[in-house]
Formats: sequence, structure tokens, C-alpha cells
Amino acid sequence: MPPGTVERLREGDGAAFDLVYEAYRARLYTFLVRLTQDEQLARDLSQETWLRLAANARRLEPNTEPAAWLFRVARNLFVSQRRWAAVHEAALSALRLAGPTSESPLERVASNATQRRIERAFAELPTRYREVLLLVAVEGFGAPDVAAMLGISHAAVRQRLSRGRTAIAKVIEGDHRDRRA
Amino acid sequence: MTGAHDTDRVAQELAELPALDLEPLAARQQLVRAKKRLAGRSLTSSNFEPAILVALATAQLLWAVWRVLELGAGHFG
Repeated sequence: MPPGTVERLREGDGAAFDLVYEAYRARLYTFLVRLTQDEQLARDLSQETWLRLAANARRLEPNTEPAAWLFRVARNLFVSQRRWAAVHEAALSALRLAGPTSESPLERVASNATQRRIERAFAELPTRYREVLLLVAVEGFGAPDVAAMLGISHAAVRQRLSRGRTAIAKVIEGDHRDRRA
Repeated sequence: MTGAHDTDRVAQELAELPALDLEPLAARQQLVRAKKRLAGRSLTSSNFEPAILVALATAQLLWAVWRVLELGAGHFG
């Protein structure tokens, strides 16, 4: 990100917004697909996240890190949506809108069986482990930053990260054993 | 708990996972909507909205004036 991009964003500069959008659009969408396990929901939350950035651009702090801001907002939108879905579960089930039943799009684009199994492992992880694993191990945010983003302690981040990594390690170990057999 | 070797393997596998992107049209639409918000424009505004609002306001004003005149004529007439 060129220096001064956040400052230009704070001034409502459309070209600066384009830069941020191009830099993070795919990453944010991929993160949301893995987090929500629902392509359509990921698309909606992605749109809402960018709308929020546009609405709040002029109020950003000068030292805002765009990536951390975007991923924090995206994750919080998912949490809000889950609360809403929990309240309306009966209606969603009646409409058969309770969740995806088909293969994740990330499984479809996976290069090999290990990657497909890893994507399935993400889907099977409890959300609290999945989000930490995604933010730290996939997106590369530091554990202290993730603790701040999620409003949890550093110890909780480390514990959830460890559980998530263990699940992925089991997938990799299982594939390794299968190949040797 | 995963050991250091496992952590490296996990990190390597996760780093190689593919990414997804929106289709170009969907990505373009998403950007356009967001930049409208950035410019402070309503997402549903049209080019005719200001003219419609002015016309409505004028009509309301004329009606109010007519009512006042009508009431005044009735009072003094």
C-alpha cells in the first residue's frame, strides 16, 4: 500500500479507495468464504464491509491499518449475522436457508486432496477456532492484533490457534500416512 | 499440542491454499456501490431525485398559499 493511502482515504479520495479495494478484495472474500462456509453470505458480508469502509473513511484514525480494520469489521458482521440467524433459525429451516449443503467453492479450486481435506477441516472446526486460525495462520495477523480484533485475551488466541493447528496437522498427518501405505 | 515440525508443515500447507475472487462483474458492482457511499450519495438515488423533491416542495407551498387565500377570502368575503 503506497504511503499516504489512508490519509487520502480519510479525505474521501476515490482513487485511494480503489487501491485498498484491489489490494484486499480477494483476500477478504476468501476469508469470509472460509469463515462463513457460505459463498452467498460471504458475498453479502464482503459488500457490507466495503460499504462500511466507505461510510467511515473520513473517520479513520491516521494510523489505521486497512487490513486489520477490514478483517475486524468483516468478522464482526459475521458474528452479528450468526446472532440474527440463531434467532430466526426456525424460519430459516422452514425455508431451507439454514446453511450450505454442497461442497465449498474452496474445495472445488483446491489443487490436491490434502487441500480439499484442509478446507473440510476448516468447515468442521468450531467457529471460535476457525476464525483465529484463519486470521493468524492464513492471513498472517499477529496474535496480539487478533486478540484486539476479537476482544479476547492473548491466552485465548494461543489456545484456539493451537486447537485449530492440531486439527489441520491431523489432516496432513493422515494424508502422509495414506501416501506411505 | 503440535510440535515445531507439525507447525511448520501446517504453516506451509496453509500458505499454499488457493484464494478465491469475485467474478469481475460482481467485483465491479461491489466497488461502484461502495464508492457511491464514499461520495455521500444514496445507493438508490437517481438523476431525477433532486428535481422531484423540488417539484414536491413547490406543490406543497402553492397548496398552502391557496389554502391561506381561500380561508382569508372566506373570512372577509
